[in-house]
Amino acid sequence: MSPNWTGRLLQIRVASLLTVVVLTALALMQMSKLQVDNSNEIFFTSGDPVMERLDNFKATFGNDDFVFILVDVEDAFDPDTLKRAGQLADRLELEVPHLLAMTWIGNVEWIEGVPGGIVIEELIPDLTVSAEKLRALGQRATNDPAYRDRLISGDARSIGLLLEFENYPELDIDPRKDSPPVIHSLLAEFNDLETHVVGGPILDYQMDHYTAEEAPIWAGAALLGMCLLLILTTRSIAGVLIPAATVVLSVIWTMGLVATLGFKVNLFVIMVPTLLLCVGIGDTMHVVAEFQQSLRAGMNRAEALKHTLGLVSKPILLTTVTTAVGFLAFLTTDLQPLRDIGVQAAIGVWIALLLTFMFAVPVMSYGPQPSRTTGGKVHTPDIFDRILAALAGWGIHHKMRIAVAFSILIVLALVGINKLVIETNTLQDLPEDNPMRLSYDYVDERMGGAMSIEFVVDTGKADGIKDIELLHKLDRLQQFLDSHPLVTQTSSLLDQLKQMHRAVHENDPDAYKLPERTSQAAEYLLLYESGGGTQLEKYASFTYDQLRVQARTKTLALTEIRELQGPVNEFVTREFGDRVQIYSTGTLPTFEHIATLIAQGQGRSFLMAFFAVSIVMMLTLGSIKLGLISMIPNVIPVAFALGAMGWFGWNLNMVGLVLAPMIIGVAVDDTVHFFMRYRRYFRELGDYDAAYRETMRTVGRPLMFTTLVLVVGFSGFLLSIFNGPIHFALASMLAFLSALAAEFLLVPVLLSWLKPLSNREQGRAEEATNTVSP
Amino acid sequence: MNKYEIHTFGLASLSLLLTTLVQAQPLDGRDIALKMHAADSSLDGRRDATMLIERGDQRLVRKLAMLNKKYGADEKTLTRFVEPADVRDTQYLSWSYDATDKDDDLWVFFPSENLVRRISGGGKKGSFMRSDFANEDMEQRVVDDDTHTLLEETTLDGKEVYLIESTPIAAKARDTNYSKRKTWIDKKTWLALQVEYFDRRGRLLKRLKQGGIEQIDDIWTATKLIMETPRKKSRTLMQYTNVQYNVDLVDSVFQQSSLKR
Repeated sequence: MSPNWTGRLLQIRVASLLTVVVLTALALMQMSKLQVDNSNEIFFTSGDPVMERLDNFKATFGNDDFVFILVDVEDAFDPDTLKRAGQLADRLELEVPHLLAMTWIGNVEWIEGVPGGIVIEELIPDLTVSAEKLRALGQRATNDPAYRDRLISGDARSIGLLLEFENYPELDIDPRKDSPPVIHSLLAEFNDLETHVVGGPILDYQMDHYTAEEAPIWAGAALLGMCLLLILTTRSIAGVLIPAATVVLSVIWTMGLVATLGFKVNLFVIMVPTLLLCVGIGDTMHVVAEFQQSLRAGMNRAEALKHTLGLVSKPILLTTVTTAVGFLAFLTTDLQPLRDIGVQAAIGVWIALLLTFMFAVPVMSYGPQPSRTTGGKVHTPDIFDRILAALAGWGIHHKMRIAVAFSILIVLALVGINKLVIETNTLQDLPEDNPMRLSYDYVDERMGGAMSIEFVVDTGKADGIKDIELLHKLDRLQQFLDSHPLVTQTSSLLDQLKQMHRAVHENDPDAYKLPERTSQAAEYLLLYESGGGTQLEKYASFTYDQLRVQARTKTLALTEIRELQGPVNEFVTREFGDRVQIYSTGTLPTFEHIATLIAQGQGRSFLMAFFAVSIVMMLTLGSIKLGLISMIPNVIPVAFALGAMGWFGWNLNMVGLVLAPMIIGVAVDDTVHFFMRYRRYFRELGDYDAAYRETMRTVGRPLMFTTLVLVVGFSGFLLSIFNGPIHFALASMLAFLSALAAEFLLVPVLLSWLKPLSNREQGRAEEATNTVSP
Repeated sequence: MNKYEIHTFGLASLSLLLTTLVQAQPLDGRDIALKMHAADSSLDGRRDATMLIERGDQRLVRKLAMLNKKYGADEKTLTRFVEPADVRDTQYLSWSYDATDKDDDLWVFFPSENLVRRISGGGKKGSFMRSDFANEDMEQRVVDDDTHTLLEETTLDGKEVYLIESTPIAAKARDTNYSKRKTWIDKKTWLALQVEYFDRRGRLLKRLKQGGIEQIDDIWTATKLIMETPRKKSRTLMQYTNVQYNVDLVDSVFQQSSLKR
């Protein structure tokens, strides 16, 4: 920035500060409108085929959302126990919002063949019958595969209450959030019953709760850590308060804008404030550091600011461009939360730059003039300066060792990257002793699983699923699913057809099979639908063109989901060919799809960030060769971070996907400052090693501090209860430190070996030296 | 005027006075429900029914032929399915009893297996052929299964109506989907013009509108019924055709032995 511009900026400093106050107040008001949403749907961009399948599934078979409450009891068929569970069931049915059905053994249907007839009634029509009768009725449920380990455990010591929801109305506020508080409060009221509750809305609600709880902790810890570090490194109040206030304001403005633009906040987007604190503080730190040096050199505040902005405006503008470009690389992914993070963080870094000029600079212009007597004080080298000088000296003499060490580490990192496992099941991201995860594990153990994969069979024509040949094929598919070790139970309309066939044939056990003719199937379905047929809507489409086969599983990791889907897909292709369309949907396939998008997004966003930042660097440095060398210290940290995750067995999830482009975008800041300074000193001194020493002496210090600030700032994420943000923070810290190491050690080696700076520049340097020499 | 004439005059005056008094006595909810129940004064009848069920952009068509005969307050109904073709000639025979403590009888004939099976137990709450009608909506509800309250006398679509609210008696509460029904009853025909059904939480579940009202064989009959379930975005149009009353159906038609072909 030219001195004139700085002068003008200082003339309007009061107006500028007032504007900041007004806009901050507006942003704070907008921030209160932020909404949290952690459902799986938020991952997808509109038009995503997997999301369309899920929508079709919901439109055809109803909402797949459910809440399952497991009640542990001494004896499920003790009349008092059953009565109490019935009271809970009644209250849930009456009070839980958007409820479609509340199913438990106290209200399930029972179809049985008797001589000459069929009985269709509730399994337990009356809870007040005698204890013996109750036990006999209950025994039927524990023996029936339709209810055993679904609504009652085989040992009759756990009762299940299944709450299913209607398709949610389209409201401004997510209706999915309505049921969990009601359920939790009812369960608290029935605290004499030992209950465990799982299901999509509950998990979603809990995640929202964690999200809302974690964000301020992350950001607060990051800010506190950064302030402490600033106190330690700058030893001045202004050096702490100005950068800290600037980034806090940046976060407020950004989140206010995010709310205004209608973005919803989720577990991933909630990282934005902390990310911004860390990456936004660099600009002001550079300004403050240079400003304080200028003051010490004897300039007055206005002069010092003009000098400072003249020196650092261009690099901080460039680093803002490169960081924003890194974040915008997320736009190349098909994952909506990442796109959101990309846009928001990119906006945020620009806001941080804007506030550096609108807020930090005007504030710095106030204050007493340093007395001329203290002016011109020479900066005495401290421990940091001595470390940097020693490092530069060591680097010059151990070029080969440095190159070999980095090469070995790169090879190790590449091996680690190959070990990386993608994991998208949110539950797997929770620590093993988390109450939510414990509930899922418990329900898995007692009832054989709380998750499912849904297979939809689409015949493309009305009444298509009544075709007897197709029904027999589907029976083989269901048997195949049943035989898979990861499937605990399957269900479909075939079960009801077999049940009806047996009932029509006076409960002959041999008649528990599909009928022989299409007309029989149609008549049984008619009887089933007119006899109550509670499962019909759930398992057959309205026009009987589509059928649903549900495979229940325990909580599966991504690799297991793929282990299950692979063979099933092969079976479907072999048995059905092109005759009907069969696809899987539901929660688990959604996780699988997110993983695919992560894998694609990881590559794409990394390449995008790499190319975009490379181009910016080539343009900035005015040389293709120098631009490419400058990318080495940015790529190495990505490799190290991902490699370390592979070696430590940390799963790559959505949070991890943020890593690569972010590291490039942030690490490149060091590169910009380092390379620009290095080239300047090379021009002046004409020697690679000398330029290296001088660069380390001057810019090494702020680079070291900004890196330390990043490391300290990211430590805020270590307080998360989720593994994802913790691993993300550790990998990021490693990346930032290795970026600095590569900058300080490897880059000088490469520059001195490859000699990318032209003879022309060397000539210019010699010329300059001659001119200056007497 | 002789003594006899005076007596006659006196009696006639008294009876007129009593009649006037009785007529002036306002009807309560139960009276109105009884009058609605009695609107169909036929002894027996036959009709064809076509159901068009619409859910979103999907449609189902169902066609049935129905016969019924009354035995005092009890009623026997035979329903034969005509469409869809794959269930053609499947027949349901039901005997429904007025006594609140007696469950209805139901038999089904499966033509493809030439089998008759007696169906006992529930199913009343289930949907009728995937339509918006529940099985319980398809039959005349026994008046004393509910308590009826007259809410107001008002107008609906320009017609004078009674609005009554019917709540199931405790013994029948478990057998129905509804916590209450609101019925708008035409004062002229004693037919329900509109019924609103409320779920157990008291939320509006379904709305029935009856139209196409005509007098057939001196009996007021609604020939077009539209049942809507707003939350499911679904509705069913039921159209009755070929309605005939008092056609002297023989008793054997309603015997299970005559179900088999």
